[in-house]
Amino acid sequence: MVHCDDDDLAVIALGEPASREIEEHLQACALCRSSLDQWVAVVSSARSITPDDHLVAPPPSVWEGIRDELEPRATVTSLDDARRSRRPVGWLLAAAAGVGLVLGSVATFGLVTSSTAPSPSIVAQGGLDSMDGVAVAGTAAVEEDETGRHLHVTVPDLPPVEDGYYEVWMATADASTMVAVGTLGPSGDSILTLPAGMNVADFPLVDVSVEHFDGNPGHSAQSVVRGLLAT
Amino acid sequence: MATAAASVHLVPMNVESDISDDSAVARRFQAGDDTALEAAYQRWSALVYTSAIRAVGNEADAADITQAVFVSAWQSRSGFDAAKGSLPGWLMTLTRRRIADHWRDRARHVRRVEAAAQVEPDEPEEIAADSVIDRVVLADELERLGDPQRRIVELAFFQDLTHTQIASLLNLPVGTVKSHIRRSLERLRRRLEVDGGAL
Ligand SMILES: [Zn+2]
Repeated sequence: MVHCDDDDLAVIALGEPASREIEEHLQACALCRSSLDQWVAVVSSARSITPDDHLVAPPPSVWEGIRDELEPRATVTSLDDARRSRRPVGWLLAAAAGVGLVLGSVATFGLVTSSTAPSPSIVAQGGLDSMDGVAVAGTAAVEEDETGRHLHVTVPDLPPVEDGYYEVWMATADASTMVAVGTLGPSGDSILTLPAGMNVADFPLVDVSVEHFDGNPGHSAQSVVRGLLAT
Repeated sequence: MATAAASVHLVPMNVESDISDDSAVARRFQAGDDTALEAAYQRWSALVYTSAIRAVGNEADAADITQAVFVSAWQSRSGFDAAKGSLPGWLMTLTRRRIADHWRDRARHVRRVEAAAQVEPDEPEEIAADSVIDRVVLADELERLGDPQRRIVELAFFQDLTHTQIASLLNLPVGTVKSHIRRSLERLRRRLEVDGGAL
């Protein structure tokens, strides 16, 4: 049997009259009837759209709430422990361990081994340059020894922070994703343990920021020094 | 984990959505790439939020539902299979669930407040939510239609012109108008099948 032309059924679904042949075919053919019924349902639903059904974006607080819920809670304890490290949340580890970002310009740190070398061996290093005219500069190096990987940060001559502290971050090259790896104490020299499973090749940018005791675990956007690590 | 402050407020509303792009976002989402969460939010938060507003009737509860949908989508992403279904379809499934929870909580609250009352609002409210979601999904898809489909659909659906009237108005062949109508209807039907309430 020759079925109805879909173009004909479409305009019938919109309410145009069917020809005699089509009407007779529809009486006899469940297949064509079912196509027509589905389109009739779509048309009737679409025709009941009101101006209120048009899409509106949620307020910005919704996205902020999502980020807050998925970020780790800030626990400001043991701040004088220079080796303190905040663990990144699961999603970051998943991104770092999984497909993640592959940065063409950065070599894979993970291939460097140090089992026979005297410890610690330097996996990657780079200079830190000052931002915003603060006259400071320093160095950062990823070191590896039998206990794991550490970020050794040295920034001499940093001014003391009033009601706050310096936080060290490792970030993707475009600084879109940042991991807090620990604080930089008043001595300006800290060795921070990196989370196991963190692929440091994905986070070649080292950043030191001014943070306040405000319970906000995010980056303050007040960076003092920054630099890229290279192998 | 934190994001540089500069990117925290980065929530532009798109929406030049193309299907291959959508499925790339879905695959990255499934793989746990957190930039895909933001991409998914940019693409589909308005759909989730508007459906929720229309279904629960107020913006504050709709904002809570939207937040809960994206948080739980991310946390339970292992339950999503990009090979089996679309990400917006899955987000809409979570949205309908949250809307149902909302009414269930509301009913429980009402029962607690009016101890003696026999309140059974679940059924009618959820049915209403489904048809409301269908309309929001269709409104979204209509906005994504390019011309001349969009113009033709407007005239055929909302101005009640026949396809021959549309053809002479737009100076297009009758057969072209008919096949545009058929293609648009098919596109709307498929979108409804994936994201609509009548799953
Ligand atoms: Zn037939």
